[in-house]
Amino acid sequence: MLHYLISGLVVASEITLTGVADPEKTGLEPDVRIERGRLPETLDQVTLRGPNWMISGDDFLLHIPGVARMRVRSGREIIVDVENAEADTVPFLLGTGFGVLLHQRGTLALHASAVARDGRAIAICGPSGMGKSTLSAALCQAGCSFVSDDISVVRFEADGCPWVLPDSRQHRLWIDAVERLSLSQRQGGAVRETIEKYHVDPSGESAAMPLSKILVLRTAESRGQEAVIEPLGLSDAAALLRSDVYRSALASRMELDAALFGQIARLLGHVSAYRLTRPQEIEKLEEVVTLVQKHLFEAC
Amino acid sequence: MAGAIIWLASYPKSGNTWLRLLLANLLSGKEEAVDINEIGLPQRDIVNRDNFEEITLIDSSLLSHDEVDALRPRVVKEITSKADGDIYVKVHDAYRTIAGGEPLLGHGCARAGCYVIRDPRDVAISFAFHCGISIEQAIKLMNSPQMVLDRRHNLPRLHQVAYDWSRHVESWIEQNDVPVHVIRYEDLHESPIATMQAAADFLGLAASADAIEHAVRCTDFSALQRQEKVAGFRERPMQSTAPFFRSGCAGIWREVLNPEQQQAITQTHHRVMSRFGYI
Repeated sequence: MLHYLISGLVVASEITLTGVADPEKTGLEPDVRIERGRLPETLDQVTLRGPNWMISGDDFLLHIPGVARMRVRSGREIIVDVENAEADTVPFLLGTGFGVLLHQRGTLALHASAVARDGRAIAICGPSGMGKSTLSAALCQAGCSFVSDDISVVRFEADGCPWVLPDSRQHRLWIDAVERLSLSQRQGGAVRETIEKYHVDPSGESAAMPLSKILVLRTAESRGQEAVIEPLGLSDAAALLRSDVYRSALASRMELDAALFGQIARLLGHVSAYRLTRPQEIEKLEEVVTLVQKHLFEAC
Repeated sequence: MAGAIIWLASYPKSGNTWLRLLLANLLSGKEEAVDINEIGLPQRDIVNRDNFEEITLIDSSLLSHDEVDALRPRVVKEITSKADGDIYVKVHDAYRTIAGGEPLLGHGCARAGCYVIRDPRDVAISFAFHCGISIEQAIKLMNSPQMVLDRRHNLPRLHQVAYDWSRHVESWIEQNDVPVHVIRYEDLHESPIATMQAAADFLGLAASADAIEHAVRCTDFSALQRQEKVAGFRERPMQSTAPFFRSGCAGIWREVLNPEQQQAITQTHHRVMSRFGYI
């Protein structure tokens, strides 16, 4: 068993989690186990169902055709029934598998990258394809430290302050972003053989950080638009953050709305939120980085 | 009770949106024209990446095109089963089957379809403006046997295989899964009332002559252009270099395309163009 630290959880895994920071030798009792196993095609007493997944209480079964079946139970266990190459299952395991597990545990998991400077983190939220990883990698090139790539878990400390926990993943960048940021030297293997998205080693270790600001990232509607940052009022911020919870619609169907609302309200009591509209053109990435640095770091 | 899909199928820039607005106005039952950004027709988007991910719970950017295709019939089925009554679904995919022989667009989900066909010489001009590319590039795409729309992983829509223009037309017209009514864009221009009446009859929509006349008036091209000028149009693509409702003309190719460009299209698509009276 290999031990990893992911989103604040000690994970013992039979499967090598490529793209996750080196296994830790914690000696701690694992919070989560990832094991290989044979899985059924259905569950008993299904309470919720999609075309390729089903839920029975706190038991979740997902099928990724040609890749794997995956079962996530009680926020403590993920079983993987590999259909092809084991390495191929890892991005799905760390994405949907871990996302569902975090929901089962009642954790606030934002679909967000996070970076930090001077001991304060900002989370960059947004749906897939908005450029979260690219912007966070660019901010790291400009001197920030890396916290997380795709799932940012928020934990409230005893004093009530929210901290963001690293997902321990490397950057995952499309090839054009790797080239734009001149990161070829740190480029690792493809996230999957079939796609042009690559692991890129972040420089330095990532660590949990107090969260000071949240950036809701969206892409401009048309070409030629400049980058804009604007502060968000509470109600807009709450609505946008709710939609940027990881696997947001599933969380609703899992009846987590009330709990998430409470967590988001608590979060917004401590941090301010901004909306960043980024230009479509990757050539303007540097302008976006300058704007974010000016508004979010120099102001504090 | 599960709903049923009515496909609004076409090659891009062939009048699909216009047909959708005609139907929306026909079914709205209101005096005023429907808002182009809020058309009120029961629609679904089957190629939106977020929708796909919310339904399958899988990060689509991790999937190959074949893997996305393998899930698409199930997504269509899920959308249909959650619907109530008819839903109108725009589609630019060619009609095709995936590995295993299942239709990409699902089996038994649709009750009918309309296929809008437009002179490919006019399509080329409109497509060039729409994508912000040259007319030569647009023609090259329309002649390419494996044209794929939204090919890249990091776009808001999933990839859609369109083949070349002729094969796109034939893929829809020659399939036997769903009854499809063909509408010529040019007929919508020349005799909109008769053309819409025929479409409404085919779809089994109770539509009086008055209602059809009203829908035609509301979707007059200058009316649509006025709406877009005032409030913009949400469906206009980001890279577009012109308004969505740009010219709406039939036969503009005579003034715009040079003889080489005309020939590049007619040579490749001769058979289908002559079948539909374009040459």
